Amino acid sequence: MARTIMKIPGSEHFYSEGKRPELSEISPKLKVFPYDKDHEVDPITLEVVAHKLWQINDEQGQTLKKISGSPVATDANDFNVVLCDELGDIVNIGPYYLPHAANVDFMVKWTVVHRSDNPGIEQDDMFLCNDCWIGALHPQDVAMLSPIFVDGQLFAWTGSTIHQVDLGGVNVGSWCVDAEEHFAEGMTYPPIKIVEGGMIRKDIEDVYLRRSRAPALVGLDLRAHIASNNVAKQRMLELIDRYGAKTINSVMKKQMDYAEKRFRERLRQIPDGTWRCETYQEVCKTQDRGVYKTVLAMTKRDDELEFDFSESDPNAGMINCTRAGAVGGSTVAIMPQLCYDIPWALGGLHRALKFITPVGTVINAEFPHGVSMGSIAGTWSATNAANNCIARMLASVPELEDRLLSGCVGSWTTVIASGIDNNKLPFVTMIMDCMAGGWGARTFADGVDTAGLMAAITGQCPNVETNEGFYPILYLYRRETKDSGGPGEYRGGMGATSCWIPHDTDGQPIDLVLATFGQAFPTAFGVDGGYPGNTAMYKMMRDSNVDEWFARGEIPADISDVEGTLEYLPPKYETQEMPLDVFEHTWSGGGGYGDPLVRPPEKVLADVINDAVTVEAARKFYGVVVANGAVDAKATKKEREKIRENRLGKTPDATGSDGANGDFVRRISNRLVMDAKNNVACQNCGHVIGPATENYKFGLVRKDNNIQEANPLIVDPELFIDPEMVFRQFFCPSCATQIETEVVLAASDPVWDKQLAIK
Amino acid sequence: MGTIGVDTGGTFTDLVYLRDDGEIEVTKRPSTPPDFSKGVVDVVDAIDQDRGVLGSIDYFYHGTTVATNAMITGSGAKIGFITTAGHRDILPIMRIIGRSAGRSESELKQYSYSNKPTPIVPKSRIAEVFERVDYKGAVVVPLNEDSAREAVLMLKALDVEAIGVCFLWSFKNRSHERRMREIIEEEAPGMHVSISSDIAPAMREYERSATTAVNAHIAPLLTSYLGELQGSLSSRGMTAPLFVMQSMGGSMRAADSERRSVNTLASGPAGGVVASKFLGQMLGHPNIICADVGGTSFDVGLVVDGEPIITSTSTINQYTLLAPTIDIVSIGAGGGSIGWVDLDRLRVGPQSAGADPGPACYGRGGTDPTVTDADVVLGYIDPDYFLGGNFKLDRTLAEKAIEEKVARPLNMSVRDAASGMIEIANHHMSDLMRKMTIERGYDPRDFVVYGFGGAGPVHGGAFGRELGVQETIFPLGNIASAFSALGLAVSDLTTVTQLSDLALAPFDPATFGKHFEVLEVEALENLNADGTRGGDVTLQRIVELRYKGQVHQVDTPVPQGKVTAKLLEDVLAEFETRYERLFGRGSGFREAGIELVTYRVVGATRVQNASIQKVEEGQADATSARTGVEKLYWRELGEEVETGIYGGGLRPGMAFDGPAIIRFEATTALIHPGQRARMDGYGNVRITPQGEG
Repeated sequence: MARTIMKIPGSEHFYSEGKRPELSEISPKLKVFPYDKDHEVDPITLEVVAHKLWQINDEQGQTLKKISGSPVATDANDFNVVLCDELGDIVNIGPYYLPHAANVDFMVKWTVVHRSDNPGIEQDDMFLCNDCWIGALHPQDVAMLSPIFVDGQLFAWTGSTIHQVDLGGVNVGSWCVDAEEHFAEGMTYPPIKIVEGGMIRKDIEDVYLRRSRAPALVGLDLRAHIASNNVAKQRMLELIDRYGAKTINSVMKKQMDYAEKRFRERLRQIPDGTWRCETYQEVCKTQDRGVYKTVLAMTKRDDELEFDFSESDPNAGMINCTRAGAVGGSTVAIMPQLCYDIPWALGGLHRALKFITPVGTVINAEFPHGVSMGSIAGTWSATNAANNCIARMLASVPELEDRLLSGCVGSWTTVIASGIDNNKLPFVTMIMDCMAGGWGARTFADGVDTAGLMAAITGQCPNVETNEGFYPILYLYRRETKDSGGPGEYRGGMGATSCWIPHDTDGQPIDLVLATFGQAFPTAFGVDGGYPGNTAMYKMMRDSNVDEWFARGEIPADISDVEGTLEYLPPKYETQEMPLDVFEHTWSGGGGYGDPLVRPPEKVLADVINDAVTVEAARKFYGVVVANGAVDAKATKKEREKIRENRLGKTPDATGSDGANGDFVRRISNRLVMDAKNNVACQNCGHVIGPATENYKFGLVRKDNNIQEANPLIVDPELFIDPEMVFRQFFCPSCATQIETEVVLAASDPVWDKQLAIK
Repeated sequence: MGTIGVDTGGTFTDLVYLRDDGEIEVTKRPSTPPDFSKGVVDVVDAIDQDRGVLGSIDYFYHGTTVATNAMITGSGAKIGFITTAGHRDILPIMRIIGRSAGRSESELKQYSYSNKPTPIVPKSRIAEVFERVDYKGAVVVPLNEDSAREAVLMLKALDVEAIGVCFLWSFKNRSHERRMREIIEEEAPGMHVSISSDIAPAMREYERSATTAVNAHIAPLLTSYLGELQGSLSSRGMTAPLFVMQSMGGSMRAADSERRSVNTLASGPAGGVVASKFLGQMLGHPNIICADVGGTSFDVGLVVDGEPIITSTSTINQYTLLAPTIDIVSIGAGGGSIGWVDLDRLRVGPQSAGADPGPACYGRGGTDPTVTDADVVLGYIDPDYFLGGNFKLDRTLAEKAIEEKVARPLNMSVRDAASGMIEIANHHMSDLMRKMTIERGYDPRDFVVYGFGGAGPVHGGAFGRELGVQETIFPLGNIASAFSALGLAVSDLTTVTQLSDLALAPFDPATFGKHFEVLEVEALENLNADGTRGGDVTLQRIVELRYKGQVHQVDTPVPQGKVTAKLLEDVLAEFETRYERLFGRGSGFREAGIELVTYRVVGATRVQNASIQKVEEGQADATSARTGVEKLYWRELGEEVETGIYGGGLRPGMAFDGPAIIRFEATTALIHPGQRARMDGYGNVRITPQGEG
């Protein structure tokens, strides 16, 4: 039974918007290093010191990664390190888990205001914080903040964030799928001074570790935090010693100014306009069957970019993030696509960015609503939304279109396993296989298969031997998932599937906590007529006969090959895997780019041979007929004609070879152009669709399909949700080119996803 | 008598002939891609000159890029691969690190241009076989011979030239892979076969598969290359054995190359580190930062306590391989790094002008200003005496490039722009060297720097000073540019054997001891198979340890002798000491438990007793070697000052103060203001701060 979640009076105190504090808000006990704007730094020293600052960050990250015992940190690189100026603006961020970009600055900004008087901020102190309303993505993300002082004045901050395997709460791994509210989730710590004068406060360490189911790992990570922050602090002090505090301070400020200037220049390359997206998460906690939308309207005006999430749904269950998650999630899409050659000095970039995130929504929950899945739910959903809008925005600029990525890895497919490990000791872990997500297609190439996450520049998925060596499981298979990459002129990258049975458990079960979204419908979107990627999936074959397979010297190639009772497990679930239960999980590939009917048949054939696309999907989505390992050219031509006819319900007028002529003065995307009178037309055949003052989709032929038409791997959504979702296709009425696709609630209007400002 | 080392590089093939009297002769000839053996024979003929050198030498060492090139261009054998049912995609998935391994941060930030490499074996040529072993080595599903034969026939039908095999957990139980090899031999006689439990018997199936597949891919090519080379050398009268350089800094017999081809990958930069170790022994330098500054890349390795630092993996073409490798970090910085203006700031690199078109001053159409152009503009490099005057440089073009692309946009003088470019490049290099030492737990101030490669002596004085090292050395003066080839000629015959067996402390002394016995027997077999004469064998025991749950291991040495509980306790203590040195005091956390991952033995035999000649140091007065005085700009002084120019007349014992420049035939050395240079008895140029030398 759901119950009312009470608003807690006074909880607003613990809320950081990430705004740079005014000096007047800070206790006079804390002296802050003054920025001397007139201090000159020559261009050579500037470059030399900027490089050294970058290197400090790099060294800090390397140190953290080597010490951390958390596979979440070491494999997924779900950690990050930052260097901030005296009041928390980010000068450098490490090339690790990007949503953490938002945590530390939000937290530092809150800490300087609320801790400067009592207990005070002193040299050699460190503050630990995982409070989502102050800046964490979810309670498992613990940050450690170290102030750096010069001559008694607060000069800079360094911080590190690491995802912890478990910090308590009602479900193992602190992914609290059963929680009604935040009080049942992992313990929250607003900034607490855990290191005082360079020494760990043992009493506070005990308070911290006491609440974890994996205190040894969490204790190791606490040391990783401290050691890496110390490295950064030490190097900063050496640099200050050598070049002088004023110079270092000035270089930090100039680094942010420079990033801002370059970013604004980039934005000015792009036409003004608004790009919109609706993206969804389903099932907000166990037993729930709802669908929750994240709505983004992204507006680019001159050299500024605004992200307005106002229309998003109210907070629900445990899938929400806070403002830090919405901002951090958006930066995942912003930095690699818009700032690929600009330093990631977020303090500068933020000056050209604006985020509107109303309190009480899935992307900015009100305390004490649940946030334990925030990092990979609300935050991820913000990434999906921001990527969706940015990719479409870049498609409007010929010089920048090569930088866009269609939807990447629509969701994270959490598997928390616990039980007794191979050393007969208790274990809790997050299985990191789903690091191997597929990336979205590009305008010139397919998406990378099993590429990684968009949120982490680098990362790795564990070896099967590593997992089997640690945990009592035996894999039947782990492979790239056929048809998981969204079809398109360029195909989305494939995701993968893992399947195991318990092994050597002495009859004991393995406990599993599962948390994902994008299971009832795909969340890795296609661009310019590409299809979305596949859906995530958890399957369990209960009481299987896998032992009989082994006994006769064979290994099943698919979970459906063994006998037993097949269960499709819901996206938020806790269960046990018994000795003969076969567990499989599948995660997301990337979305496609462009209409798959124009993909050269040889490339489709290569995909069939390479097991990326099935023969059936080749025919259905690409119109390519493959028989006996070859393309049947005649049948393919016919099939493609037939599909085009089906799209319009008649033979298309235009073949598509005419192209839009020179009257078209502006480009909206790779498929749409605009003429001098502000009419939108098909880029392929020149057909005029309608005035740019209204949603161009109303001028296209629209087809609403059952969601299962979006991808061959989607199962009946009624297994998991009540509301109806649809897969929509929009075709040019003249040449039948697939201009766009969208996955939305059946009740939603077509999303006006790209609207250039009228000149 | 004597030893020859031949190093095939990109542009030149270098030969070092180390005579028994310690004299060194150096010869260079252009490399001859794609058939590199021609360049090797050319350079051998050049030194031989009918003197009968080849017939008289005792050893011939070769560093070859044949395998590396085959990897990068995909020109190795067409291979098939066989793996455990359900795990065909180990190689295609590449544990996803294949997208990022070996790529720089600036490359990785460009998501839309980030890719995995072209696969060395496509899915269609990977066959699955029913068999399964678990983490304990216990058989869950026996090798199904029908499915094994089917797999071979399937690959045979696809005309593969070599087959690699990797089954899960095969390092714990080798029987299935061994039987698989027999079946391949039965069904496809004469086929090259690489099995993972032979090539890299260590835990981690992706890396083990990659190592095995790469070995199968390059072995046929390397074997035939070395066979032909051996033939050419024998026909020229050579009777000495042929050795090949490995990436871990030792050599192996050419005859072993089929089984261990993968170990020759990335052996290029290893030579310089081995040469540094060799020279360091003579000079009494246990800790050396080895800095190889080439035209397009800057490679740094470390010698600590007299031994190169080794890592257990290497990265080639984005594949991570279980091939022990000298730990070398590279950045694209060197003479070819391009200076450019980015809004209001001056940047250098990472783009490089490469060898073609090269720096603007080469006059081959390059218009971007490079660090070499800056060196020419400031007069450090004499355009008329580059490579001994064999290659004229155009100072005007260098000036023009800097003027247009850097000086004018920044509103600076050409001189300030050029010196700024050099300053930035020097800092990038010293930052990397600092990172390299500090991240491995060392303080650069406890080291000396050896600066070699074509541009090492140009920049070494500056980055050595920046690092605060005790001394900077340009090894063997003019030979600095061929230092890597010297490393080949003085390398030991080495082998690494390893075995993974996860265990939690406290370890069982009996198991621990037994594993090392097995590895040592195997190492001795590798070293002594052809009865290599002389030399003493050293065997070094290492375990890779970590706190339970970590992924990163710390190599910890194990003393020789009977394994007892006491010895194991000492090993754990040593691990914690090393751990805290790496990560800081208090970072250790024994409560988490200590886990052993891999046992490793490094075996080495000194096959030759090479030494280089040392002469008595003569008078300190260097006036006779001074060829002139030029007025040159030094950034640290902020003005042009009289700078002494020295040449080939420099003799051991001579010393002089900077600012000065030495123009050797193959390289130029800068002695900065405040520094003092001295040539020692071996011909090394040694740089110390004035007043300390």
